[in-house]
Amino acid sequence: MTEFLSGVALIGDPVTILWIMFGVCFGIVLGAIPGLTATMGIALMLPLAIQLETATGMAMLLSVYSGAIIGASVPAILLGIPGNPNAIATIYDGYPLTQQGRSAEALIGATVGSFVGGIGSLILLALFAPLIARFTLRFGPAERAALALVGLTIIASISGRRLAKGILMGAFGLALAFLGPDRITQTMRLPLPSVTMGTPLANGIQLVPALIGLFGISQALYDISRVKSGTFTPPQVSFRGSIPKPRIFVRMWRMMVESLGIGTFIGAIPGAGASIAVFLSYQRAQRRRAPAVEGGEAPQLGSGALEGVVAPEVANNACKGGALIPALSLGIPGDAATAVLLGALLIQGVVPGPTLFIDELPLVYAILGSLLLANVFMVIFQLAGISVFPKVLTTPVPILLPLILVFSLLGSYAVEGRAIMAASFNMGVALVLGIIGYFLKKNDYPIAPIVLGLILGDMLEQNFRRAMRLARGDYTVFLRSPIALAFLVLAVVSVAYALWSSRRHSDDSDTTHGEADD
Amino acid sequence: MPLAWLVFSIAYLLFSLTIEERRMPGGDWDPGSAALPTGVAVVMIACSAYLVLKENVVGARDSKKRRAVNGESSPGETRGRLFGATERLIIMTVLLLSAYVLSFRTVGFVITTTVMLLMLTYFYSLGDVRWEPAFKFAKPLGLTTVFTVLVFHLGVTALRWTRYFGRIWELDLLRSRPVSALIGLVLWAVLLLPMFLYIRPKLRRRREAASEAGALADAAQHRALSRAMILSVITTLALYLVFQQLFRVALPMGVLG
Repeated sequence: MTEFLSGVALIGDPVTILWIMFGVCFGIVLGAIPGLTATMGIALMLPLAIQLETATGMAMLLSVYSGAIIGASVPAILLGIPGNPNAIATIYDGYPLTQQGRSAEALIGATVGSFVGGIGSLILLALFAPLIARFTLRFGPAERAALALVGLTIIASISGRRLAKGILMGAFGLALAFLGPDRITQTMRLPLPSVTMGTPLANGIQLVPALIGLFGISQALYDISRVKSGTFTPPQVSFRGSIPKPRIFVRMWRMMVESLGIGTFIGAIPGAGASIAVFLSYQRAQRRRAPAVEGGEAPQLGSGALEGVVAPEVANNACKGGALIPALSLGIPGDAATAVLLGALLIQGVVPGPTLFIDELPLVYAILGSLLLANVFMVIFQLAGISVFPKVLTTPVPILLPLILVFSLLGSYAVEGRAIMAASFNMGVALVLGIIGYFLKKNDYPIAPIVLGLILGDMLEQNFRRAMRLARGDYTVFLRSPIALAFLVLAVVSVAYALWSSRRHSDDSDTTHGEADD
Repeated sequence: MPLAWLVFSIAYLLFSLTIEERRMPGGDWDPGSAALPTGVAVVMIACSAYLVLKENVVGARDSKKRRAVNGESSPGETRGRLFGATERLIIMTVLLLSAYVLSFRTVGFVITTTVMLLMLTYFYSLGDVRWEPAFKFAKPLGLTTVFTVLVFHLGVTALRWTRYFGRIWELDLLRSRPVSALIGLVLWAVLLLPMFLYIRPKLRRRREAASEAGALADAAQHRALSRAMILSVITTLALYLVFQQLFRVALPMGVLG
């Protein structure tokens, strides 16, 4: 009870609440601008978050995360352009609703769906994360090393058909993580030591500049092609006669519960991604809806049905809570955005896993509480901003990109705060990785595996070496421990599934090409 | 790209082989500092070699077939179109960002940020990097920088006085970070608002005059320039307030220091 009250006190002060409100607003605006993702938003806000108290900083980042997810539905509904790939399913019914002059109805539906998904998955997170974390108390170095390996196999699933590229990027991330001093023996691992020894590179590559470079600068460079796309006339949003009645949503309860389950479950599987969840929930809603339509009651999904907006939005937001389950309990990020959140925790010296639920219980309650508050503010701001969104969508790219670029560089500078030399070096790291990230994106290389490698590299190396030492060099230690063995099997299954899935997709596309050619 | 990765991977393998093999105290069974980097290098070489083979053998065969079916031209025939407006903008951005990072400490935050923001916004608004307008905009660039420096100095001096009075009157509130940032915000808003209200119609008139004279390129240039000038001044000062005043990040003053 004392821990719970301490947690409430951590997020209950007005400053934290103001940061949550700011985070939600920033996230919604960011998510509403096509091309800008939640991951990029969290990476941009990271330097500010680490200047704040741990709980306040995390609350702000989680608010950005929450806001960006709901924000992505705005351009999907109003323009038929998803703010990020996870809002694609929202277009199928959201945009037809806008074309029918019912955009306010669609936006309200998306808000309600997001709230249900957010709160529902939060409850599941609060129930399951401590249980999993308690189980991890049984883990030794061998189990932890195997767990890190499972985390790295997420690369297989997030790389899709680009498996070799994904593994290469993951290995590159590990190579970056291994730069600098070896934490066990303090051996220097630096290329050209005569040149690099006196530079801040001797301490290794910091996570924040790397994240900012890979997600912020590279995306901004990539988006330069959009500066010539011109302006457009935003749709008018009118409330008249289009506010859905609460009973319409009450009638959807079964579909919402299903979407919540799908979203939380898929979100909790590291690397599965919300895009799978939104399509599954949409498909489910479609099946559930079919008989009613035959009776001629309402439009079918795909032609402007509110269910087609609510179901994917519930699943999309439920993924957020689901992705936090492995992140907080095992230290394994569920997606790229939670990888950055995990990075924020590690920078603050907080290690996710069982110790988090024992030593930092107030912080856990603060994280859960801030998610709750973020969801509440999300509803308020989303509803209040419905008439403003069309204006946000017209923000010219020539104004937006310079702001992102300068904020990215200054953000990576701010990590070191008062050490000007190291701080300037961080700007260089962010810029170099941003340029590398741009070329990688341009050549269809996935970026997220680099982050996984950077985050999990240390955990993998330290635990692997400790396990080998304790087992006196016997590699079968990973097979003798049932938990480690289970993780290894999971890793193999994960890679095998990704390979099978990738092959199936390429077979499909070959068939399609063949048909097209014919 | 895969070939570049292959070269990098081999270089990384060579580097990992030079890492001193040190083991943890009393741990003869520790694989050592170089074990994992070497393993990673091997994985990187395997993946990049696979990609090189795939793109050069399978990829070349497929693209040849696709070109034959679609009647597309070979890559060599399109080489002349490689540097379009977008590529020029990207190169300019990378060069500007590099210059920004390199001169940040010596020239200082205020000047570098104003110049970079102005140039980026201006060229992005034009949608291309054109040398003639680039030359023409040297004067507004200089004026905006001088103006930002002046306004910045006025604000910083006022903030110093506020803190000074806070100390002698023993008013901690005047010395607190959020209040200091708020005072700065109000002060700069008071300074900038009348100036923008005065300048904006002038800029608009020039733009309209250019538009009426049929010089649409000039009108677009005026529009880009006014947008860039306003954005660079406001953003530079706002970033100073957030990073230096609110979060106490030591932003270098460089030549202004």
